[in-house]
Amino acid sequence: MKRQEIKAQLLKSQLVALRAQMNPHFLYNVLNTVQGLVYGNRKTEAGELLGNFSDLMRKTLQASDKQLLSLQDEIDNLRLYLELEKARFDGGFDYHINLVNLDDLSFVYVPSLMLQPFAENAVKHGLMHKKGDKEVLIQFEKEVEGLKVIIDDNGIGRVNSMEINKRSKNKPFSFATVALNERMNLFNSLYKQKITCRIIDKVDEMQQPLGTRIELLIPDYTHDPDAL
Amino acid sequence: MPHAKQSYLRNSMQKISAIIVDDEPNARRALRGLLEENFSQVEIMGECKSVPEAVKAINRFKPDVVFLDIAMPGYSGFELLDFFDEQHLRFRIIFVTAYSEHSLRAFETSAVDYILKPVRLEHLARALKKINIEEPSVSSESRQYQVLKENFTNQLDKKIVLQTAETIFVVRMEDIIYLQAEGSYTRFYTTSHGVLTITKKLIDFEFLENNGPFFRTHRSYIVNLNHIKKVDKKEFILMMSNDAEVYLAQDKKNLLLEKIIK
Repeated sequence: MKRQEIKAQLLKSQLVALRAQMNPHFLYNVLNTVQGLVYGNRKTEAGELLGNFSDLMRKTLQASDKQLLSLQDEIDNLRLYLELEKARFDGGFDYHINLVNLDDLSFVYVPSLMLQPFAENAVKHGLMHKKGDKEVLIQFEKEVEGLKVIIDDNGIGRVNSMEINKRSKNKPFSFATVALNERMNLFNSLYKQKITCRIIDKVDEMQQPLGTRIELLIPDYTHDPDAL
Repeated sequence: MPHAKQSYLRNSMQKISAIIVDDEPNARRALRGLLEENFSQVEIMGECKSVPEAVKAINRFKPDVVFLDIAMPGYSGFELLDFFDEQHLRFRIIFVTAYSEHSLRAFETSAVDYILKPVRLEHLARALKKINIEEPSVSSESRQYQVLKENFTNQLDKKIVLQTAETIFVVRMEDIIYLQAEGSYTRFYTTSHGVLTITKKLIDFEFLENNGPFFRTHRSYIVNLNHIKKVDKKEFILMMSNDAEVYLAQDKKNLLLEKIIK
C-alpha cells in the first residue's frame, strides 16, 4: 500500500473508532445513570456525571481530526470515560492511573482512539460479569524503546467472557476490537517502529482466571522523521 | 406536572404488585422513583439485580408484574422464562431495555411489551394500562416470550406472531410468500398456514423490510424475495412460488431487480 493510501485508510479507521466509542449503548447507559441519580435525589452526582459526559464529548469531538494525541489529553479522556463507568456501577468499581518515569505528558504522543477501546473491553468483557470488587489499573511507563502501557483488570478473564458471549449468542469479538486491530496495523505500516501488543490471561496457582492484562509498547513517534 | 399526575392515577383502584429486575442500581432507582411518584397503585415488592434473585423473589412475592432488564451479567432477562414452566407463569413481564433499534425489531414481531431506558412516564403508563391482572392470558403470552427470545438469539430462523380475534399464529418468516392489503386488513399468504387475514394495515408490517428478505413492490403488496418465481418486466407482474400474481409498481422495478440480482 502506498503511504497516501495508508493515510486515507487511517482516517477511515478513525471514523470507525469514533463511531464505536460513541455507540448508542454507551450514550443510553450514561443517560440512564443520570435518571437514576435524579430519582435517588443525588443531585451533585447527577451534575458531576453530566459535566464529565459533556467534557468527554467535547474533547473527543475536538480531537477527532488528530491521529496522534498528547498523553496528557489521552489520560484526560480515559479518566472521563472511567468516571462515567464508575458512576454506572455505583460503587464496586474503581480505577487507577499510574505514571512511572514520566514528567512532561504534553510531549509524549500516543495514537488517538486506541487506549479507550482497551479500557472499554476490560469493563465490558472482563468486569461487567464479575461479582465483587471490580478494578482496572492503567499504567504508563517510559522505557528506552518507547511508552509501555499496561491495562490490567481483575475480571473474569477471556475464556469465561467468551463462554458467556457464546451462550447469549453474542458475537465473540466486538466491532470495536476488530476496528482497533485494524487501526494498529495501519499505524504499523506507516511507521518504521511498530506498536506491539501482548495479551496475558492472568491465572492463580490453581489455573483459575484472575483477569486480563494488556501490555502495549508504543514507539516514540516524535523521533520518527515521518511523524504525522 | 400535577395535571399529568392526576390522569395517571385515574384508574388506580386496583393494586398492582411488582418487582424490578436490573443489574444497575441507578436503573432500579429511576424506575422505582418513577413508579412511586406517579403510580400509587403499583406496589414494589422488591428489587433484584440478577435473574436467579428474581426467580426467588417471584416465588416469594408472586408479583403481578416483573419489570425486566435484558442485558445483565450471568443470565439475560430472556432466560428468566427458562426457570418457570408455562402453567406457572402467573406474572406479566414488561421488558425495560436500552437496546438499539436493531434489537427492537425483535419486539415488534413478537407483540411483547417493552419500554426504553431512560424510561419515560408516558411509556410506563401505557405499559401498565395494558396489564389486566384479573385475566392473565398466561399461555399465549409465554409463547410470545419464546418467539421473542428466539428472534433475539437466532437471526436466521425468525418468526412473527400474528393475532386474529380467536387465535395466535406463530409463522416463520421464510414461510411467508407475500402480504396483500385488503382495506384496513392484511392478508398473509403462507406455505405453512394458508391465508391469514389480520386486522392490521399493510403499513404496520413495513418493518418486515428491515427484518428479512421482504420488499414492498406496490402500495398493496409486500413480497418475500425468496418466493419470487418470475418477474414480467414488461407487464410489471411478479409470479410467486404459489403461482399467484402480484403487482409491481413502475418506480419500484429497478430497486427490486437490484435486490434480486444481489
